[in-house]
Amino acid sequence: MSWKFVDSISASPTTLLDLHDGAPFYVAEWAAPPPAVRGSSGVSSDGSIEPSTSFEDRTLQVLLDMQSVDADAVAVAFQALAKMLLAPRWLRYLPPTATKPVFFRTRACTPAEIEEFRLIAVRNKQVRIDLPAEPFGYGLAVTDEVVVNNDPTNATNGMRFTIADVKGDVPAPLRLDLSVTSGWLAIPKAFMIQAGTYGQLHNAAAAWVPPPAAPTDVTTVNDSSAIGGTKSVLAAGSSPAYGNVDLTFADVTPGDYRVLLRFTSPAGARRACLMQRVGSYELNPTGLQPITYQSGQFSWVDLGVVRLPFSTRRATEWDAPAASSATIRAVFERSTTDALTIDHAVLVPVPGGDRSVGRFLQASTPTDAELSAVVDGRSEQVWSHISDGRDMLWSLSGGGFPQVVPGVPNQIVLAYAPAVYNPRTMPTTVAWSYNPRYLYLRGD
Amino acid sequence: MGQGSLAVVMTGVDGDEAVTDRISNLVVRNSSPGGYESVEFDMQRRLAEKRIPDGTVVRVFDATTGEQVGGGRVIEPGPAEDGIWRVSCLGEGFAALQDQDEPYMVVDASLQPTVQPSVIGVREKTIGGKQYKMGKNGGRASVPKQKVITGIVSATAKVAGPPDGTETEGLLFEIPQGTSTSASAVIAAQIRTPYLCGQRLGAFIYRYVCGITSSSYTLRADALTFGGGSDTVATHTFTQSSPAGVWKVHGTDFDSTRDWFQLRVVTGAATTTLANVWAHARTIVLRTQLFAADGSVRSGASVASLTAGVHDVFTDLVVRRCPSLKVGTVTTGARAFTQLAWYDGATAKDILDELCEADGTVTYHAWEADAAGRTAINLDPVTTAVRYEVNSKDGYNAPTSSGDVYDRVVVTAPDPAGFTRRQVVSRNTNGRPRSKTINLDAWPTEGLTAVGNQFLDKYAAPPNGGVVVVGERVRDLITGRWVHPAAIKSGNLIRVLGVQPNPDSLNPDAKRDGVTIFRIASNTYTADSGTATLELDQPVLNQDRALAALLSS
Repeated sequence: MSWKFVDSISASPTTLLDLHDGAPFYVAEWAAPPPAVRGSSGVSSDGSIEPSTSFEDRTLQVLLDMQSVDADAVAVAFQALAKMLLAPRWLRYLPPTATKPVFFRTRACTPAEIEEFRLIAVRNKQVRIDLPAEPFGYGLAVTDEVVVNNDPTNATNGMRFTIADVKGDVPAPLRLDLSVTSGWLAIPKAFMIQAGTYGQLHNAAAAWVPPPAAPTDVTTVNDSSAIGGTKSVLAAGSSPAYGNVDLTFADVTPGDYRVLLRFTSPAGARRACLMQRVGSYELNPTGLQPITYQSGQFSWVDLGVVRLPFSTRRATEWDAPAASSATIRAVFERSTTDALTIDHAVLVPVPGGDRSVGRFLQASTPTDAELSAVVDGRSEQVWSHISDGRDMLWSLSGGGFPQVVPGVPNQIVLAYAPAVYNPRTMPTTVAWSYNPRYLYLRGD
Repeated sequence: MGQGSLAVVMTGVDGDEAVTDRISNLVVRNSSPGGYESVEFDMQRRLAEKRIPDGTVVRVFDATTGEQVGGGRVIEPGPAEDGIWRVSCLGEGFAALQDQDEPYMVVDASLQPTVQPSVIGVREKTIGGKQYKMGKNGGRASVPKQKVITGIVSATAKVAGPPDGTETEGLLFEIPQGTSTSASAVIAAQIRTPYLCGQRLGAFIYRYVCGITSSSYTLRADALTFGGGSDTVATHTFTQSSPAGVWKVHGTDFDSTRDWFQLRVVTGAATTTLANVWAHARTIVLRTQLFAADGSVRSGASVASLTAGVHDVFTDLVVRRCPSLKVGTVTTGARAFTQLAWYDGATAKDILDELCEADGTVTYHAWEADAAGRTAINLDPVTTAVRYEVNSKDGYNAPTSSGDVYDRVVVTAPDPAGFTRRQVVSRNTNGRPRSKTINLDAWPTEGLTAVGNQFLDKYAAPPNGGVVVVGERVRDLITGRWVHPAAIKSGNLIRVLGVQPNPDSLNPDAKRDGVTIFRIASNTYTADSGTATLELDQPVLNQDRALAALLSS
């Protein structure tokens, strides 16, 4: 059992001050009650609304004994303690007979009470400290590495990976180190990361609906770079002016999803939108919007967020709606000079309307990133270490940083859209890590 | 995490910074018209850290879906001693539309010419001849005949009716009878209003009639550049018939750099004028050049029209005055305006608010910025389909006022001939009408009855200045999703369930029936309580009042 001020969270950190080594400190009393939860009162309804779980600071209650024959040594030691208390520090606590420590981030404070006893031949000072600290205790980092590819139909890490057995008591921010091997030129310039405990990727093959007036405008071509081996090509033309893709997904758990479609075309401005079909009536809430894509190469095009199956009820704590198949139509504006090619669509779950926990992040960089990028949920920054030595920040296009939730399997989805180089086989090595966050001083 | 699953990103000179964990008291607001209105929060920041740089933009996202729910540019970072900075941001649409307050015109049919008297000729008299003189010796004398000048004649153009007795107002150029004019003498009148507004002449049209038919006198139309060149666009010999007006457009008929219009009468060879030497120009309409959505100047032919709609003005103002905005989707307005000019200066917001109010079918919103940092602003139709459904369990209060309910309206306007006409539209059924009078300055193209009906449509049911509080996600009927309370967009219709209905709430038309279906005027989401407060059917603050409200809260 030990209490030490250390310089960092690691398995063997440097000790700045030991509070329990008898030289001259001993911890006589110690309490670390969990922090209080903030709620909010409702307005005219019964109970309270829980918009967010937020915790108050934790107060660590420490009673230190300082005993020594040498009064000067006691004074010097006390000065050292006062300096530790005046700035935010890491306090490492190893519970009795435990093997893994927990770390607290303390805040600046001064001792609450100092009592001096004059015993014969010995100086005794008792210091009571109410040490404020961040609400959660941190455990040592849990890390692992996984290789993710760009093909969502792949059962092994296809565009996603799972983090199971998450430790801790509350959700913890996640750090992801993404890297590609040099054969792939660079990390693509934009990606999305969805971390959640709800929902799966759903896949559908994508093919153009042949226009009744010109059915030969649509051809199916074999292509080894396409997911599923074939791609659907809509020839250039203006009659009809739009190309339709009907996507049918099987066994969709009702919820909000972001629709990604693999698309390519020679360079030029393109517009597309999603339409929900209810019977024969089609709803188009946004109108045609410009899309960003990589010319000449397959890349994921982001068509926006929809609820699928359309207009289904929400899951509540009482029950959840059943999974069923869902159909949605994507509409593209045709070009008079260039063909439009598609091969596959995938749904990335973005839990919004249903009671679930998840985070969706989009980041992009205007320059060519190097072979790696870091998504750091703790400092909420995305950066790449580039060739001139800088850690250059990416832009945050939207959303929140990923986190992992203890007690349930967490699925992390990584989608590059749009991309420089986005072949389906491109492997990304993801080294993930998180520090478990504890309310109570170790579960595990 | 706090902030109710919202994430906040601040973008400054140094790049994007996610500040979600360092802020408290987050309030996000959007309103209609306008779009995203404000974002306010307190931020932990040491006093020693540098000021938030100018041009910093804040975006608020729903962290679970990645979609934006609020944003704005930082206008008021207030550092405080305790290290908590109070940051206020104003939505880009609101801010950009009020940045410039300058004169502006689109179509001007009112006559405001600049005229200067010019000497057109002289009056002369012949003297001399035989004279009789009685002297001591008797006899006769004679003085040689000669013409002498008895006076100088100056002439100006003036705003008046023609001397032939018809009552049409216009510009009158008149040379009195018996004036000896030199060759090519000129009376000129100029209309310099595009120059005054810093804009360029796009097109013009006029008609004219003259007192005599003569090739000795001409009426000419010129387009000029202040301090620069000129083009003589048309030359007409005096004629008593009244030819139809012909649009003259920039690029084709005159140079595109002209900003000032002139009409002048020019005499022919030197002569003495006979009677009825006058020319009267009427229905003079000037159009300025307008921008299209892509930033190019619209062709002259496209502005050669007596009227302009809200959509024309909207696109031009956004391109001309708001470099941080770009034109999104534009809905064509219903009303054709015959006079659009603000010579004393106006902000784009003032102009659009006035026109949208008069038109009644469109309104404007600016929401997310694109990847290049430019925010699209849309001219949206005033929707008639209910978009959101909430129930009133989290709070609803609706004080009604019958002070603004009218069922009868009197509309007056001068007809094209100049006489004031009156039209009454009444929907009263109980024998105790409440009425209001609308006095228009110009004849509306859609007619007085239509104007009256438009007014009564708005005021027949009591407007609900009420408030509904939303504590959880609500159903969006158009996308079929459940949206975060902060993502409820103002300007849409909302149905509030759990409110006692009045008999006519069973009306299937989803218009503002003032009872269970309301238009959302603004949405204020407070992250601490996790609730959105929706103001219903209320007008919106302008920027000064919005700032005052932000700073005093």
